[in-house]
Amino acid sequence: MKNNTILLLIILVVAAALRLYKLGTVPASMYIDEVAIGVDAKSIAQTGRDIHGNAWYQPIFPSYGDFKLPVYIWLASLTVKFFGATEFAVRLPSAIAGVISVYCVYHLICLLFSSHKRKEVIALSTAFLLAITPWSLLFSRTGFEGHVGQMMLLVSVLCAFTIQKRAWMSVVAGLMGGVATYSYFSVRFVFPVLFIAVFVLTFRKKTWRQSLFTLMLGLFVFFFTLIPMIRSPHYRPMEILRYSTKNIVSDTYPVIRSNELRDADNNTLFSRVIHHRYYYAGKTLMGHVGDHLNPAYLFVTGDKNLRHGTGVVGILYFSYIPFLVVGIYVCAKRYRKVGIFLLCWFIVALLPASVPYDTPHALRSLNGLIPLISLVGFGAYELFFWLYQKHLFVFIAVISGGLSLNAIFFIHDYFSHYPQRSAEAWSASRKAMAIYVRDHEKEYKNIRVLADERLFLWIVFYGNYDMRIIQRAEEKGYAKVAFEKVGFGFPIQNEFTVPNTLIIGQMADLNEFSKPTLISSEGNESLGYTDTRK
Amino acid sequence: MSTMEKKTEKRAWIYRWAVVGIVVLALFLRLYRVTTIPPSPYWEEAALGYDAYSILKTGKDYHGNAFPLLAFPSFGDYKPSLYFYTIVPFIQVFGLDVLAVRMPSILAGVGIVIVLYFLAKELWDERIGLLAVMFYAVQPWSIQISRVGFETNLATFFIVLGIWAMVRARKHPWFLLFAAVSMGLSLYTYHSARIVAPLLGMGIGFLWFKEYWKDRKACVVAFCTVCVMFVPILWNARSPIIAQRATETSIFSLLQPIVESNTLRDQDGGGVISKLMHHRVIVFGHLFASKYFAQFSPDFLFLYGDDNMRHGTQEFGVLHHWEFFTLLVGLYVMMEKKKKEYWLILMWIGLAGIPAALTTVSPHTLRFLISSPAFAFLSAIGGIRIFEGVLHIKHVMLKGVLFFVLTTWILFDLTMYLHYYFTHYASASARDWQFGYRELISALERNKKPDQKVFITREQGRPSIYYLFFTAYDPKKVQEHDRVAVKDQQELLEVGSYRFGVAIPLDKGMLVASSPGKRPSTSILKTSIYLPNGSVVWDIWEQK
Repeated sequence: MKNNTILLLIILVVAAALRLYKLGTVPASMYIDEVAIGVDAKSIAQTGRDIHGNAWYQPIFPSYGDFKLPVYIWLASLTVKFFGATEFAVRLPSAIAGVISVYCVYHLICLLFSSHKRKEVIALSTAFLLAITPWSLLFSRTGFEGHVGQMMLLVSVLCAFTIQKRAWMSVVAGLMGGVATYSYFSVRFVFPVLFIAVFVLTFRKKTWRQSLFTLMLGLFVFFFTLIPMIRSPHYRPMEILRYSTKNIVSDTYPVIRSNELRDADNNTLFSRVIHHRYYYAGKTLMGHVGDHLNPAYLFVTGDKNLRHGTGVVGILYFSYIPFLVVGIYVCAKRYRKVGIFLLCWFIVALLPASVPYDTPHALRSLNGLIPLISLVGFGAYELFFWLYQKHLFVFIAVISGGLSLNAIFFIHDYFSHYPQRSAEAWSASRKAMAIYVRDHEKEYKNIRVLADERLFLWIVFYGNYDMRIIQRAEEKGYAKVAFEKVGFGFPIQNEFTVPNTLIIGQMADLNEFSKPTLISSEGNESLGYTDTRK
Repeated sequence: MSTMEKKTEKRAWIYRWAVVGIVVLALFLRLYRVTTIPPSPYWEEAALGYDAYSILKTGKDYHGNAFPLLAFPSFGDYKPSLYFYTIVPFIQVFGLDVLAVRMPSILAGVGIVIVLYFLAKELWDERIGLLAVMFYAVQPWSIQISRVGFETNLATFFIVLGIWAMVRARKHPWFLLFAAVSMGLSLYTYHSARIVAPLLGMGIGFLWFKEYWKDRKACVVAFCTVCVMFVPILWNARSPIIAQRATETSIFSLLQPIVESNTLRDQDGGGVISKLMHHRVIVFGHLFASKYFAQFSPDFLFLYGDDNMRHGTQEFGVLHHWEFFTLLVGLYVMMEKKKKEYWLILMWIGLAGIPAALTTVSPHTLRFLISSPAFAFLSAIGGIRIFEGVLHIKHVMLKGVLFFVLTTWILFDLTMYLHYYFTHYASASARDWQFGYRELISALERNKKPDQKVFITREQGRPSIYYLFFTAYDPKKVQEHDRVAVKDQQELLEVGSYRFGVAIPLDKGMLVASSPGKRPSTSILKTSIYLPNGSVVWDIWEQK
C-alpha cells in the first residue's frame, strides 16, 4: 500500500507543477470576470468589504453588475492577502482546486470500484490522466468559478459515499453541496441528482430506513443552505441576467416552427400531435447535448472559444479514444451500476450547459469532467491490462507513445504559441492600458478614460489605490465612474482644455480630438492615449 | 420430414416472404411520387439526363465526344461516366424525364436492400438479415438519396455487391472475380468509390486471406481484373478528367494550414524539433482528423444531417433517433464477440469516412453514403440484442409494456419522418431543387414568337442545361456548334435563339427571364413563375 501513496504523491507533484508553472503569466492577461474577482478580493483583503462597501459575508456579490457567487471571491481574498493583487493570486484558488481534484478522484475511484482487486491502480491511472488532461489543465490555470465548483461537487460526492459508515456525513455532504452551489450556480441542479444517485448506488435493503433518512437529511441541509442566496435582494436580478442570453427556454423557435407546420397540415389532430412545440424544444436541447458528444469536439478541436480551449487539441487527448471506448464497454459488461452512475453524472452535467445556444461549452459542462475522466482512467487500466495479458507489448508501446506525444505537443503549444494566439481573448490590451495608467499617473493632474466604463476594473486592479476611496466612489449602475484622479466616460468639451490631463481611449475615438499614441492593440480593441500637454 | 425439419422449413418460408414484403416496401418508399418529391431535377440531374439522351440518340455526349469511358466533361466538372450509361435504357422507356434520371438510383437503393439480406445470411443469420433490411428500407439516408439521381447510390450498390461477393468467396473463391468486376464498376461511378473500393477490397482480402489463398488461380485472376479496371483511371490521374473534382474540393488545396505551419515554426525560432512538431503534415493531419470525426457527431447522424437541403430534410438526421441506442448496443455486441465479421463492419464504416474527411465540407451526406448499409447492420445487431434482452425479462407485464413502448416509439418516429418527407419537404426545399425551370421553359416556349430572341439570366445556375433538358433539344445541333459556341468553362451560354448570361442585354423585342426585382419599367411583363410557397422565382418580360 505504501507504493501507492508514493505514486499518488508523485502524481500530485506533477499536477501541481503543471498548474503552478508560470501561473498568471500563461495565459498572459485576465478576462473581465477574473479582474472583477480580483478587484473585489483586493477590496476584501484590505478592508473586509467589497468595492461597493458591502460586508464580505454576502451570498451574492454585485460586482460590476453581473452578480457573482461568493466562494471564489472569498478564496481569492485569502490568496490576494498573502500574495498581493497579481494574476497569480487570482488564479491560485483554481490551481489548488485542480490539485485537490486529482487527490479526490483517486479516492472516488477507490470507492466506486471497491470490489475490484486492483482498484488502487485504476485510481492512480485516473488521477494521472486527470492531472495531464487539457480540460482540467486549461481551467486549473484560469480563475473560472466553474472549476472550483466542480471540485466542491466532487468533495460533496465523496462525503456522500461515506454516509453508509457515518450517517452524520449526510449533513456534511449537504453543506458541501451548498458550498459548491455558492461557487457555481449550475450545481444547484446537479448536486441533488447526484446525491440521489449515490444513494441509489450504495443502497442496501437491510438499512433502507436509515438510508432514506440520511438522504432526506442531506437534501434538506442542501436546500437550507440556499436560503440566504434566495433571500438576497440581488437574486432576482441575477436570474434575469442569466436568462437574458439566447437559450432554449426563452427562444420562440419551437412555437413558430410548430405553428408553421401545423398550419401547412390544416391543423388536423394528427398534425397537432406530430408537430408539437415540445418536440422542437426537446430536439434543440438534444442537439446541444449532442454538440458536447461530438468526437471532433472531444478529441480533436475542443471549444472554439480561445479562453476555453487552445484550438489545436480536444478537451481530451486523441489517445483517450481507445481508453474511453474500453472503459464504457467494460463498465457495461461488469460494472453496470458504476457505469450508469457515471453516465448519469455526465448527462446531468451536460444539461445546464445545453440550455443556452452557445454550445459546445467547455466551461459550463465542466461538472462532467470527473465522470468522463473516470471512464477514461478505468478504460486505460483495463486496456493495458488486457494487452499485457495477451503479450501485445507493441500496442502498449504505441499507445503510450501516442499519449506522450499528445501531451508534449499540447504542453509545448500551450506555453509557446497559445499566449500569442489567445491574447485578444484574454483582453491583453486592457491590461497594457491599466499598467500604462499606473506607471504614468504621477505625471498628470487628471485622467479621463473614454472607452467602456468597465475599464475601471483593470485600472483599480493594477493600480495602487486605497480601496476605501474606491468603495466611496461615484457609481453608475455598479460601475465606478470617478475616483481620485480618474474619471470614466465621454467628457464635456472643456475637459480637453484642462492642462495636464491624460486621455485614454480607443484609437478610433481619440483620432477625432488629437493625435493619439498606441498603447496596445489586439483584434478589435486598440487602446491608445493622448494628453493635453501636446 | 421430422417436426424439426418442418419447423425450420416453415421458418425459412416466413423469412423469405417477409423479405419480399420489405423489398416491395422499399421500392414503394423510393418510387411513390418520386417525380414531385423532390419537386424538380437539380442541375446535376438535368446534366446527367441530357448527356444520356445525347448518347442514346447519337452515341456522343452533347460536346461531341464519342462514348466517353472515364468521365463526361459536362460543365467542365468531369462527372464519372457509368451513371450516364445506366440512364440510357430508361430514357428509351420513359422519355427524357426526371423519372428516367432517377430510376438507376431508385433501383440501386432497392438492390442494396436485396443484397444486404444475402450478405447478412453469409455473415450471420437471417434474423439479423431481416432486421437489417427492415432498417435499411426505411433509413432516411437511403430514402433521401435513392429518390434523387445521385451517382453515389449506384456506387454504393456496386460496392455492397462486391462485399457480398468477397464474403461468399470465402467458400467459393471464384466469386472474387465477380467482386473485382463489381468494385471496379464502382470506380467508374463516383469519385469517393475510387478511395473506398480499393481500400475496402484490400482490407477484406487481408481479413480472410487464408481462405482466399486456397485457390491461387482465382486470386490472381481477380487481382489482374482489378488492375485492368484501375489502369485507365491511374493513367489519367493527373488530367482534369480524374483530378478536377479533387482539386476543387480537397483540403490539401487550402493555403491556411501551410501559413499556420510556418507561423508556428517562426514563433519557435525554427529549430529542428520545431520543424518536425509543426510540420504541415501535422497541421493537415489535424484538419483531416477534425473533419473525419465530425462525421460521427450525433447531430449529423441523428438530428439534422448536413447543411445541404438536397441531401436531407434537415428536420431529421440521416438515421432515425432510436438508432442511437441500437448502434451503441451493436457496438457493445461487436466488442464482446470480437469476430472477423464484426471487424468487417468496423472497417466498412471507418474507410467510408475517409473521402469526406479529405474535402473541405464534412460531414457530407453523399460522400459518406457508402457506410449507410453498415450502419443498418450495426443497428440490426444491436436491435436483436435488445430484443433478446427484453425477451429474457421474467416479469410478464413489464415485458409486454416494454415491447409495446419500444415498438410504438419506433413506429411513431418513422411516421414523423415519413409524414414530414412526403408532406412538407418538397415545398420547404423547392428553391434548393431549382424549382421553376420546367415551368419557365414551357412558359418561354409558349410566349416566344418565331424569330424572337430569348435571354435567361444565370443567377439561379446553369439555365442552358435546363433548356436543353426540358425541350429535348436535338443533340446533333448542339454538337455541331459546340466548338464555336460561347461557353463558360464547358457550360453553354448560347443554344439556338436562346442566350444565357449575367448582365441583361438591352436588345429591343427580346424575351427575358430573370429573378424577380430586375424588370425595367419600360418592359411588358408576360408572366411570372411561382414557388410552391407562393413567392416569385422567375419574371418573364418582353423588352421595348
